[in-house]
Amino acid sequence: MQTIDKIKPCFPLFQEPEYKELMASKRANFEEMPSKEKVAETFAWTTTLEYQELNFKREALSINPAKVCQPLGGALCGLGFEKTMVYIHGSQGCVAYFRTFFNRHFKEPIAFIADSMTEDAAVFGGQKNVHEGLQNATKLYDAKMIAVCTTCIAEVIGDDLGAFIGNARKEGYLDKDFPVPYANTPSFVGSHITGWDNMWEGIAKYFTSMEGKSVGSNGKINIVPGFETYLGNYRVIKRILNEMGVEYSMLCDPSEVLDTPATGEYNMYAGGTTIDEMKDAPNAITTLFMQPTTLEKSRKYVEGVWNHEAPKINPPMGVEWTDEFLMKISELTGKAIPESLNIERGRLIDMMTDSHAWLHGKKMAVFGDPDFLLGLVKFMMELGIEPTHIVCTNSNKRWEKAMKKLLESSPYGVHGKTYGGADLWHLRSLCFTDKPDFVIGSSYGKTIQRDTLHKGPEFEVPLIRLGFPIFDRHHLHRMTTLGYEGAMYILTTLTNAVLERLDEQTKYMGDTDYNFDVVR
Amino acid sequence: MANIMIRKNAEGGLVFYLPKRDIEDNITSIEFDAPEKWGGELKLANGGVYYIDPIPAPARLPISLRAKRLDGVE
Amino acid sequence: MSEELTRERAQALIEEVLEVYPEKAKKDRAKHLMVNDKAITQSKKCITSNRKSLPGVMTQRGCAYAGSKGVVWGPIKDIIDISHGPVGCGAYSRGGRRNYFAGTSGVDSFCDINFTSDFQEKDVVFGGDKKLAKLIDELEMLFPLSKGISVQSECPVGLIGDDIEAVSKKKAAEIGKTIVPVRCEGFRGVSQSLGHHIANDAVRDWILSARDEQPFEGTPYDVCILGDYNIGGDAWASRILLEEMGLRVVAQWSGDGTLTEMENTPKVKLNLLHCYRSMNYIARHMEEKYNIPWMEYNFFGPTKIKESLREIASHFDEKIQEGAERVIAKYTPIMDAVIAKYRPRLEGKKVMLYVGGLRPRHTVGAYEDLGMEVVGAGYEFAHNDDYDRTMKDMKDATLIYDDVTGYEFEEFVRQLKPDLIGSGIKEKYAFHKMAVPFRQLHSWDYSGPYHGFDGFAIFARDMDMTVNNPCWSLFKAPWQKPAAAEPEQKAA
Repeated sequence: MQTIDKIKPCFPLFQEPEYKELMASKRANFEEMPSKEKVAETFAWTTTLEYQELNFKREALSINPAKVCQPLGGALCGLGFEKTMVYIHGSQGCVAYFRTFFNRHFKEPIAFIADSMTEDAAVFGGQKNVHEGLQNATKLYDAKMIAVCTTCIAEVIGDDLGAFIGNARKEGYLDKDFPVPYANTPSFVGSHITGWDNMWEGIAKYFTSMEGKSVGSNGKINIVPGFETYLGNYRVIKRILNEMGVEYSMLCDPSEVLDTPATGEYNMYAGGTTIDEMKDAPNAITTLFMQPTTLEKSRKYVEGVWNHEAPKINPPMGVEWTDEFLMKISELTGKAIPESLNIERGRLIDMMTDSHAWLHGKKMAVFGDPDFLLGLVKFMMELGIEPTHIVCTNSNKRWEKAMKKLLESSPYGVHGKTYGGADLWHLRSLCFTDKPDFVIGSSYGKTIQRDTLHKGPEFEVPLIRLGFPIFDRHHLHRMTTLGYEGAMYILTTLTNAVLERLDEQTKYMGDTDYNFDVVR
Repeated sequence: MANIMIRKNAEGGLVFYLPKRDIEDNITSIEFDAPEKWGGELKLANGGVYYIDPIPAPARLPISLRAKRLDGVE
Repeated sequence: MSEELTRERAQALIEEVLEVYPEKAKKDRAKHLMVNDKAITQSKKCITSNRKSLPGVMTQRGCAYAGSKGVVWGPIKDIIDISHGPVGCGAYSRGGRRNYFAGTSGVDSFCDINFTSDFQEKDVVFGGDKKLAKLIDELEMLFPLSKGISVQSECPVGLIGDDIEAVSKKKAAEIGKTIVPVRCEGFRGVSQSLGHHIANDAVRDWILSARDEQPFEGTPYDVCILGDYNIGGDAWASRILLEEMGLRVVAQWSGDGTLTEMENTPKVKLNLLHCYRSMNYIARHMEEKYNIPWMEYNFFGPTKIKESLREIASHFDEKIQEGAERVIAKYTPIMDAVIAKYRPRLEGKKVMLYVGGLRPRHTVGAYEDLGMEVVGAGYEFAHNDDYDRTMKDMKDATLIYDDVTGYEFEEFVRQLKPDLIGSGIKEKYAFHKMAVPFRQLHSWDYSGPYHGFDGFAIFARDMDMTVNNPCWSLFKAPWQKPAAAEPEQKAA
């Protein structure tokens, strides 16, 4: 029962004896749940190697996959362009989910619209929805561009999106010149990162041709970020290029619209790549893709149509790959790497020397998107951390090869094993049978922490939150993981996670507190 | 023809419920209300008029039936 | 503070907001907006609901899958729900709703795990039935203590002609467990609402009568809680009151519920229905088939809770009626203390609500207990029977909006300047930018429970912390403030 001086929400309210009794009596009298012993025994079995073997035999069932579907990625891509309304052709429920997913991660309003296909559209096709939808959307949202991608209903029934949009123009639902780039983003192919790639290709296709263009003529470097949810990463790349005095085009930049100030007014749009910038993009010196293994379609378009060499670079994460990135920019533009970046690098190395003793030899499992994992593993090994289980649900062959090569390049990679296509239930097994010190990944890793702790405190694998989505900690999406600055954030996060953990284990008076040090 | 349900409310009156149209209203009159013949035209408080084939009065309510709309609001 | 909302002003506001739409859309949206008139008893005469959302207009609605898997089935703890189809739906509907359960996840309870068939192109081309059959075997291998399985269809399943019913029947016989195919593809219906109905029907057809022939040790005081999803522990904070007054709660649908409880529900004496919108179907069915009466109740705020407890008790004998009075007497002092503490801080504050199918009307009493006034209310997926119930509970001239669009809601808020908005996460951050205090009323904003007496204390605490937090007064930098500006917020 509540008291006025201390009103208790769910925790700790349900720790009160009357609620514990309520739950126990519900279980005993009405639920017919298995006995405590049976549950304990079965739980113990799920932590065994035997269970792991069964678990890895799965072919049809996916449990807690660390990926979501294409249109979510397509939507993030559209969001990165100036005054662009993301429009999703298909069921409205999907769009509610995409918005919610981003709301929870960014803690920001997310404006996407759907054309709400229902049963009749599933039978007759979604052309009517596209026509009416585009008409309403252009009237209501004061957009400069509407970026269209699809959900699986439209894909399964085979809607011809290009024709529908063309007809909308012909029949007057849409102004002849109003820009509506589009992409097919079937949820049953690839994952959110594929959707980003498709939408970007769609936008590039829509706005760019080589007519009157000449590679290198605008003197800029194009940056294609890919499915990037760390807002600091957009900012740090721009800062690096500014400091180098390099002209650039960030081709997709949602860092403003996903971080608008609270002023008393809600603005649906902010910042973003302009259409003019996109149109001018083929004139750049070249295009750099920040996510090397997962932007194949976009790369093909840039190489094939824009005739850009688009040099293959590693994601600029950690020390050496950021070095490489800067040298590549320098090589491409002839601009020197300025002292300011040299100082920044020096500061990072200084931090690494300060913290190495807490990180060296630590074993960490990781999960997340493919290119993020590449960069993270690279930097972990630079820190002397040994990556163990590397789980990538939305992996691909290129990535698997690249990761293998990366692990072989360092003595710290010997324990690293990649699990392409695996999910977090596989990782749960691995965390029991070959326990890492930590697991790094999205908020969804927290059930692994809970499950391992349930076996006993000595089995707990604490989660370090790096990746997407992060729903249960605030504002981490504003951080940076790329460049030296990003390495500083990752280093700080990892080191302090290790120290927090040590405090947790050593805080017991007269027992372990000899190591509960005030200086570390 | 639509599926409807007739139930008794707390006051003992008959209530007409047409799930598909979200119509839930008191029945103000029923054409036949005898043990051997029950049903026929139903008048609702909202002005709607429906018809159910007469049947022997049901032993208990609610009962699901098929009804035809004759008149009134939809 | 905004001026008094009159019927004329509210109507003018609606007209003004509609101006921006193209002709066809304007005509449609006009039917979904109204000013409350308590004299009208039939909402149908003045508002249209449960119709398709307009293409290209920002609706906040979800889909049938969300209504079935997310709302009704997801919270049943010992049944594994397969999100059958592509990978997104299962991931998006995982963990955000806060339907709590007591159990060992992955062993005897499965609410917080995403099980999916992760359809690939070949599954769409060649059909997913074989994969489903295999998947069920794999579930059985890894989760032997599950009580049953439900197959929650995503859009493609219904479009490619899969026969999930046949697979379910066959595998159920093989593994000896309940397997329920649910045709809740997202394109069915116009919102989550049809998903609730489909989910109810699936329970009716595949679960409810399983123990009809079996003996059951009943008591005259057996009841079932219908339509409480245990958000933040709501159902527990409700159950405790029912038990304290002497009733025996045989089943919870579906928060922290189990297959056994559902199968035993036909034996109860009275069904207590909290969320009318999502579970009236099964209540009506049980009334017809099993002769179980049902009643709607409202456990938000002491006034409504007391009313409800007495009304529930009136279905039973004196023992229970005394029990209800005893419970009311026990909790009255703490409720009085909560109101004494928070009402002065919230008195006269204006609230706008936009939630699912129940809370816009059910929480009004709780706000009124705190001296707050609801000046606008709307539903994502209500039907006209919900609006019938709403119009009675709302004051005259309250603005009522159905399937409100993002644009309309923002405009209404700009004009009415409420002191608090209760709605969902999709709306939350836009209103934060607009400096309007906001509480999520789907997930209780990571707090709760809000049901029951214990829940009301938390509700009051939460509304106060959000309305009176100092952050709302810091929006303008000192150099931006007009000279005569007055601080709008009360100090905490």
